[in-house]
Parts: sequence; structure tokens; C-alpha cells
Amino acid sequence: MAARDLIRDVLLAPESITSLTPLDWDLLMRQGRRANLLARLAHVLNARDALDSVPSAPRQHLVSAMRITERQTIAVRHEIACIANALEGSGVPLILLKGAAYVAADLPVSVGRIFSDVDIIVPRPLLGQAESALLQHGWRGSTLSPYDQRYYRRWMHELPPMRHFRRDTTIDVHHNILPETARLSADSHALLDNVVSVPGHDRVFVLQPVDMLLHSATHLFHEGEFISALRDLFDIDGLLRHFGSRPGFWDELVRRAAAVGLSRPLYYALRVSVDLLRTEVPKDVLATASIGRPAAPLAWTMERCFALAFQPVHPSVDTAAVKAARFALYVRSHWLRMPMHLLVYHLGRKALLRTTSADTPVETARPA
Amino acid sequence: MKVGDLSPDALRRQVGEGNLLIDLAPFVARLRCDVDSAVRNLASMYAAFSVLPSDHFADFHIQVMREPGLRRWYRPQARFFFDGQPSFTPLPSDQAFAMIEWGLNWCVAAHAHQYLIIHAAVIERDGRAALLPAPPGSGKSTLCAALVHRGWRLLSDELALIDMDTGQVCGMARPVNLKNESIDVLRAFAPEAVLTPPVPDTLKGTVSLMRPPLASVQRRREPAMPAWIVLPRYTAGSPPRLVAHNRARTSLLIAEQSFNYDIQGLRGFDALCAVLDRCECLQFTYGDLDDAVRAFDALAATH
Amino acid sequence: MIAWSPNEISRFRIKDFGDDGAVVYDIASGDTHAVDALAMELLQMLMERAPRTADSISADLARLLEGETEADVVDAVDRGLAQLQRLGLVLGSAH
Repeated sequence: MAARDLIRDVLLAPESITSLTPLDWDLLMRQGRRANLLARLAHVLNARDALDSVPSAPRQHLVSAMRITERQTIAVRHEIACIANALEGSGVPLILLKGAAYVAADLPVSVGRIFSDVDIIVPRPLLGQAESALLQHGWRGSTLSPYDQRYYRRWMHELPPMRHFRRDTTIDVHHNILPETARLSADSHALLDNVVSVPGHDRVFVLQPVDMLLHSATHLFHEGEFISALRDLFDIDGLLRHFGSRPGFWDELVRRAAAVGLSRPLYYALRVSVDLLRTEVPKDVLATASIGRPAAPLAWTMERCFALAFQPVHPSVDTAAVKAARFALYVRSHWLRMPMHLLVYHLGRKALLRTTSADTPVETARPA
Repeated sequence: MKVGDLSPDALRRQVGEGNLLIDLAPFVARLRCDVDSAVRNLASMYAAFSVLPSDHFADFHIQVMREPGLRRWYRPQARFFFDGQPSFTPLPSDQAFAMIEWGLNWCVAAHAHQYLIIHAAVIERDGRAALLPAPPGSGKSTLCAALVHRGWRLLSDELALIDMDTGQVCGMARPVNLKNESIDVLRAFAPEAVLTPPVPDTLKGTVSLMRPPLASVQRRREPAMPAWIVLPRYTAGSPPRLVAHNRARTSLLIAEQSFNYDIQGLRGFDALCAVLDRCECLQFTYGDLDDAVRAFDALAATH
Repeated sequence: MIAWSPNEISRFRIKDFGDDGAVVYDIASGDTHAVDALAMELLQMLMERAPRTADSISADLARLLEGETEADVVDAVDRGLAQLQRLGLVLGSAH
């Protein structure tokens, strides 16, 4: 069977569900579930009053997926309130990132989204206070091995995830957009200078729209794991659609990217979003953003890699080419993070762990 | 066409290729398995269930496959896959059929949130259902297996599927899971019951599955309205005692025994309250299955 | 002296089972709790009139429970209020 990105096709053209066979629905549900896009599909169909026309059997899966995301949205809101409470009086501002930020800011892209952790960003000098306030309010340090702890604290841009002892929720405390060794050094301090408060909560902050986009783009195009890649790309598409109608947004986006050193990830985000999701980006914006494009041979390779790698991670679309592209990007993401000698050690160690412990479950992506 | 209509060779081939679709109303499972003992058990336990054409929509794609490499010959193992993704650690391949059963339970419990799903046995008589929630090892499966051979219809021994709009409970009438001593107890109590060859040394002890009574399978599409929540407790030598159980505590217990109560949010709470409104809440202590049959007969006779 | 009041009641959904107590759903957090019958009685009293001190509640309760003195019920009232407070159903403010 030819590889078919059915989940993407249907999300881009929901009216096409009328021509789906039972086996098509079967594949669509499985791809959608694996790509964490099932609830999104449910909401897209619901918004056009098309849910009732879905055959009863697949419809149950869509309903089921919506129940999960509805519940998670409530849980995230509650978690944000608890975190705000914990940081109150600690001198640490509550700045949300990613999914939690989308919920707090009531963005359309938050609807039908699966959440796992809450991500916050804290200025480096305040990390100790943040960790302390969280520990006082019931969060516990993680159970990573000493090696992974050191890896996190030294090379990743966050503390190891902390878990709340009673609610069993996880918080990821970031202190920079990229790890310190990144070959692409970005001025993330600038991003923190322009945070905006969330409607109705003057103590809760999110990145301003252009920075939210840049952060999402940087995260996605430096990632090594692709389980959520298509979902994350839809996030970028959703953010662009929502903010794109604001006057001056596009100009500011390109200018800001150049100012903080994120022109390359912005270029990739726009290019791939346009190519794969038919996002409407003004042509002149694409042209201007091309300052971020690398030299020709590399650009073509990267773009091809991304196009392949963004397929849903599912046996139905798991060709050799896709696997190779993903592996190349996995290595690249680590290359971007750390110097070569450490990279070899880290990758070697991870491979060793995989082969000596035959019973460990398949390594999955860090939750987005 | 039923599973039992397929010749052993045809069944083995079809399920080996991953083209066996079984009607497990309200779900359809597409199964792939290359472990012979599991396929034989499948033929026996699911003989009365319908097979669907391979171009039918399937809710769950599951595979239970022999582990490759050395594990094919040395203490062979099998592993469960959900839509091609390995889930759970591999187990000795004589447990492959049990893995199919546990795997199917997991598929439903983890994905079918159109229902409020309670970890409980469900049996029915005269249109009224009794829910028997209980943590593992409380004897509910043995009690359930016995009662469905004495006038009660089996809806499920593990998963009570509650329709949150109508309040009715559905079940799949799938095989009943028996462990250790209860295997022999049940054999003595209901010699007509068909059991898979017991498999020792599983995580749950020695395990055997009991074929669901034919009438239960034939009527599995009929839901029922819950009328009783009975918390069973087996204590050897204990005389039968049926007493009222605190309703608030029963509610909390049902919520705790639910796989997806939390996901359902407020809707789940309202549905839970509706179930409680309809049900008598009872605690049942017993030491003998015949006593239990009589006690449940008496329950069924009440209005 | 602590004055007790019921918390914003729209945050909760309550299913009262009378003598068996009640179950309460906290809509914001998604938590479900069992509350015993006495604590439910205290909550009812506070919903009728608040803010009130524990002593005032004990006095009324003692009257309702014919034969009990205020001293008898004060411990039970304290426990009940503590339970309600823990679940976020009532708030206490110092006077």
C-alpha cells in the first residue's frame, strides 16, 4: 500500500470525509491517534457540524478523543492556577510556554490539543528561587539517573522535570530557549523582556505573539524526535493563521527573528508550513524570510528531510526514506545541542542502554 | 460466519496474516497472532462470535507475535502490539491468549471514553443488572462465573461500560478470567463450563479462561439497567451475609474502580450519581458458591 | 476566633445521600470527595447563615441533637469544619 498521509489530507480538506471508505476511516483513526491529532480532527469536524455525518464507529473514537482534551484543558487551567499560587511572593514571574500558554491565552490552537506537562520559562538568576518555591508547594525532583540529571542541568535548557506529589502533574522549568552550547545562539533574554499578561490574569504571562511563533519554530526545527512533529507543525500553522491577520504582524515577525538570531528556524517553519499545510503566508514575507535559508545544497537536503520526517510516525507511512530522514534529523538535533566529543559519548551511551536492557519500552519523545 | 465455522487451518492462516476481524460488540477488533496455542484457545473461546470481512472498520488493531531471534527457541516469548506499537513487556508464549484478553481489555479501557468504564463484573437477570466492582483477588470473577451458570446472563467479568446518556450498562460477554484455586472450584461447580488449559506462573498465578455461555454471547448486544451494586468478599467458611453499604462510600469506590472516571469530568460525576440513584448498594460476604446463588436468587426476586 | 463561611458554591457539585453523607465534585480541580453526614449538616447550616463561629454552630447543633450539650458536640464540629476546610468547601477567617 502506498504511504498516505491521510490525517494531514483530511485536516486540510475536511469536506473529503464524504468519500472515505471504512478502511480509510480505519487508517485515519489510527494515524490520527498516533499523531495526537485525533481530537483536533474531531473539533474541526464539529466546527463545521460534520460530526454527525461521520459513520458511528469512527465517530466514537473522535468523541472519545475530544473527552480527553476537554478534560486536559480543565486540568491545565487548574495546574496554572496552582503554579501561580506557588510562585506568588517568590519574586519569580510566571511565564508560560507552549501548550499551557495557548490555553492561558485562549488561542484557537489550544482546542483539541493533547497536553502532558506545563512548561514555564524562568530567568536564569531566578532558577534557584523557582525550584525552591515549587519544592515548598509539593513538587518533587525527578528520578532521573545522575548522568541524565547532569545532562539536563548542563546541556538542556531546563531543569529536570518536577512532579507534584499529589496531583501527579509535571512541570518543566526552562531557563533558555536553547541549550548553552547551541551552535545557533539566540538572544532569549530579549524574548523575556516582551512578555504579555494573559487576559484576566495579571500575574500570568506568555510570550508576545511573534515570540511565541519563534519559540515554537525553534523548538520544532531543533528537535530530534518526531512523534509530535506534525502536531507541532499544525500548532505553528494555527498560530500563523490566528496572528497573521493582525496589522504589522508579518513584518514584525521577520524583523524580530533577525534581531534575536532565529532567522533560520523561522525560515524552516514558514517554508514547511506552506509546503505541507498550505498555510497562507504573504509571498513577500516568504521572500524576506529567506535570509534565514542556508546555502543551496544544504537547504534542499534539509527541506526534503523535513518533508519526509513530518509524516505521522505510523507503520502506514514508515518508508526507508522517512526513517533515514528522521535519523538524520535526530543526529542533527544533538549536534546542535552539544560539542562533537560529548555528542558521541551521549549517543553512544543511549545506544548502550537500549541494547543492554531488552525489556525497556521503546524510547518515546519528550512530551512537547 | 462465526469463528467456529472456520477450519483450524483457515483460522490459523487468517489470524496469522492479521486479517481476522472479530465482532466484539460494541467494538470490532482486528487480530494478528502467530502463536499456535493462542489461536487454538481463540477458536475455542470465541467460537460463537462473528467474523467480519476484512474491509470492515476495526476499532482496535492488535498483534500478539512471537519474539524474534533467540527467543523463538529458548523459552519462547510473545509480545503484545497495539497498532504496531509494542506495549507491555513480552511474556512466555504460553500466555499469548491471556495477553490477547488483557490487551483487549486495555484497548477498551484506555480508549473508549464514550463510556464510563468501571472495573467490575456485570450480570443481568430480568432486565436488571448487578455490578460487582472489586479489586483483583476479591473473588468477583469466580462469583461471576458461577452465577452465569445459574440463571444470570454474563455481560462482562471485567469491564462495565456505562452509557452516560441512558444510564444503561453494556458488556461484551467475553471469556471470564479465572485464577489459581478458583479454576478447580468452578470446574466442580459447573462441569459443563469450557476452560482453556491452565497456564501456570503468570503474574497473576495460574490462569485459565472460561468460555462465555452461548446464551450470553447471543444476547450481548442487549444492555441492561443497573439495579444493584454488590461488593463481594469471599471468606472461606463464612455464612452468607448481604448488608447495605454506605452509598457515599460506594460512590467513591466506583469512581476509584473506574478506568476513566477522571477523564469524564463533571459528566462522569453526574453519570455516577445517576447510577447510584438507581442502585441498591450492598456488601456480600460468603464462603460457598451455592449460598451465593441462593442469595442472588433472592435479590432477583425483590422489587 | 475564626468565622466560617461557605466557599463559592458554584465551584462544587454535591450529591447528598442523607445519613450516608455526600459526595462532592470540585469542578475546578476535577477531584471527588466523600463528606460525612455531620459535615454536610454543618455546611447546610453555614449556607443558611454565615459567617459563624464554631461555638455558635455547636450551640445550634446541640439543640438539634436533643440531649447533647455544646461541650459534647464541639469536637465533632471542629473535625467537621476541618474536613470541609480541607476540601475547600468552607473558608475560615480570623476575627
